[in-house]
Amino acid sequence: MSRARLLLSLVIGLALLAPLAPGHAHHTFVTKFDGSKTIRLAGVVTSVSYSNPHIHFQVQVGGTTWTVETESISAARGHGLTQNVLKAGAKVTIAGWPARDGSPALGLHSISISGGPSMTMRRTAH
Amino acid sequence: MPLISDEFWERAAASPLAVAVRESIWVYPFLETVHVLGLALLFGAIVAFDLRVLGFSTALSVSRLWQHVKPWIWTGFALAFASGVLLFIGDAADFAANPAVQVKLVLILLAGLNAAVFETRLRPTVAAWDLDTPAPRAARISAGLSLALWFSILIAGRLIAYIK
Repeated sequence: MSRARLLLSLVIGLALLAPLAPGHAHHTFVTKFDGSKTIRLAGVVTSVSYSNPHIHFQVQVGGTTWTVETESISAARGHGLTQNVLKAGAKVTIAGWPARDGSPALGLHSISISGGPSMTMRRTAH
Repeated sequence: MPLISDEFWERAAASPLAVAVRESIWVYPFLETVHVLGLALLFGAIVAFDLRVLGFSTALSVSRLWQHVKPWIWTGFALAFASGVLLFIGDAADFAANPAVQVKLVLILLAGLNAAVFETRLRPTVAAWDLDTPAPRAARISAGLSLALWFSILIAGRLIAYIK
């Protein structure tokens, strides 16, 4: 019985420690993107992967192709970012958080589509 | 050297089934929900049984408790397994390369082996420790291992989203 209690307390202890595991957050987002910096880019959408669990699209800005990550399909539609507005060829201005690893990747905060809607997809990187 | 080539997983991810998993508005969240439901049944039933073998609530008959939890363990496993395979196919190349997925699959295999040992070597002796008696040491070790493995499987699964 004492052994069983010991094991149980071990399991519970581990459960309490689990939130300290690397990258714990509501979302993978904060582990990839640095919420303390915001950058703004203007360019042309070259491709869109309108997929779950997260939509990704690419934006050509000068000579650099940025990969932008945003919400799930249903969340994006809820914000008005449908496949009709987010499509290859669209001119966009985007703001978001840069990748922690320095690659040309951005976690999307807000997007403004030339001749179309503007929307805030996400208020913080957390 | 990977067991299965990247090309195979990329072809799997390009299949119509994988596209449906990714591109339908509701398939992915539906599968995630089924996966969590399956885990809840599977893990909950396993924990209840393992704690009994470890020495809690010895007034409960081990064999009767087993009869009660067994169908829920298998139902939960079937739900979690089927939804897990489909979610995996949705982005097979990425998932196959993810260390958390690899660790999780190895742990599931170990948990299965542990359960098979319990089933073939330990449960047949249950009549001797069915009620008000501590389970043999080997059975308690197996139950503790089962708890530790399934708990680690949950953690590895949750970390998939946070590890590249």
